[in-house]
Amino acid sequence: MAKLTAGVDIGSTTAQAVIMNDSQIVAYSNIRCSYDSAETARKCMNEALAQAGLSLPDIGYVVGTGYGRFIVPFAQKNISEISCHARGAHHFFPEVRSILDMGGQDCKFIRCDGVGKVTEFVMNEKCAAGCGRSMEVLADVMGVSLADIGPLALQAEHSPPEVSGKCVVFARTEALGLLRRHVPRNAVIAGYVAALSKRIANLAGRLGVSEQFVISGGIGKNVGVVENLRRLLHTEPHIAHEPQIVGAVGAALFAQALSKK
Amino acid sequence: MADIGVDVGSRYMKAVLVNVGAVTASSVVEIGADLEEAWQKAHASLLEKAGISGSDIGSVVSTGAGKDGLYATNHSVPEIICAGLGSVALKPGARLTIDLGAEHCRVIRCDAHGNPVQFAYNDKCAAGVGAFLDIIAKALGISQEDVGKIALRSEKTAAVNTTCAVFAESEVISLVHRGVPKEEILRAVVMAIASRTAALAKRIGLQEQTCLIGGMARNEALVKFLEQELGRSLYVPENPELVTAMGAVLCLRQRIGPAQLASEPAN
Repeated sequence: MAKLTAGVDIGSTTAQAVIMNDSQIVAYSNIRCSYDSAETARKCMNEALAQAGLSLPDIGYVVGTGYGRFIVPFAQKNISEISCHARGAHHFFPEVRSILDMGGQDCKFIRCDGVGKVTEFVMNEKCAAGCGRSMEVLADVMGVSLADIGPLALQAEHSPPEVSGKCVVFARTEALGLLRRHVPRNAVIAGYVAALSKRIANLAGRLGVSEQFVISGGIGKNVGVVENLRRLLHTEPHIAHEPQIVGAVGAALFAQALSKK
Repeated sequence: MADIGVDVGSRYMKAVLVNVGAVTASSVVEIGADLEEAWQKAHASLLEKAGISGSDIGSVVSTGAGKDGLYATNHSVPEIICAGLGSVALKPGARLTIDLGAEHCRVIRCDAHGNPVQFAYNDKCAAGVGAFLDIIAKALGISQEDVGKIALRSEKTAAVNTTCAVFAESEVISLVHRGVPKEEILRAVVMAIASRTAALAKRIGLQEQTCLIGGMARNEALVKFLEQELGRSLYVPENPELVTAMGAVLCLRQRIGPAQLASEPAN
């Protein structure tokens, strides 16, 4: 009898819950985190359950992961987000050997083997300039929505200005300065998207990017960054239809394996 | 003839009007989106306070991060030079100047004339400068003027991420929700800034007489923690945020160009 399992990925900025039946995704949710991580976990789980017309007792095994994985109150086990991202990416793209995952407050580059097991990784969790947060701040300063950043970067008609690519706080001042000097808005956006992409490429370069390369996390939705990375890394990245659920999918799959023991 | 020295910082424009030998008027304006608009405001304020007209102005000399963006300027001088000159003019024995502003921390060792001999700066990471405190104070709903006083209220320091100002900002909401007192959070942030500033100063080499300038010098908690970290008391001028602008006018009047540095800047 196939068992229903769930993976809950509590990040710094967003949280996802995925319900799986064997290796089929049944339902998922993707919400903003509140300051109360346990509350966030309950909320994203309930949303996924509601979508599937299920309730928590129907779920045989829950695995928690992510930044706040230690306080998923209803999880039977917690597994590192690195492992869950590799496992989840492998589910969507079995040929994957390297994964770039970027969320709100961290950026990881993971290498894995043929079964989605982590072989090595590097991460930045110390500086916002190399994380999704930098794009949120950029959107705020430019007066556009986060979802528009990618498309606007690609629409820039003028060469993007060189920007410092360091410190999100100073980038705010720097961006305003560029606008003051009449650099077109889209070019400014393109400049920061390019700077972030360069930082990511440097991180990935420390381990080397494989042919089969996956981008997961919210950054996978930024077409500007994806296009920049395509050019910088000379490879076509694979991106799941919903890149933000990759960690939770991996967690749900680990739950499948654990529930069979 | 009066001269105007204007320090165009990352966030604030600090301007002084110097008539003969003294500063007769000053103005601090937040820059925002329009630099020229900020200048119009500062310029008008200076003339009004000094009771003179635009034709009485000899030269406008600018310094600071935005010094070359100002249309009205006649000369521009590097801020490292202005900070040293300004400090030594106010305190002749000063040989080290620590300049802590919104988006920079500069440490300058100078000679008896205020010429820079060696310097180091951080203008890359907000976690060591005023911007960090601004962000956290805003997140806590505390005004800039009250930060120092509140940060000194507690002996305890909250465990806050002080590696990144942006990450700290997200943490603050959850800390407050967990009942961590605001004064403990502010204390942690001010201490982190003081600690980073001290580390930069130690790289240059501590001097007996050290001047602390820049807007952050108005924060009594920052001064106290920095003095503790450095193991000595600091000379803080009455208007610490104006010293660099004043130094710009001094530079102009001494008619010196950029000084030769005795050694490479230690970045």
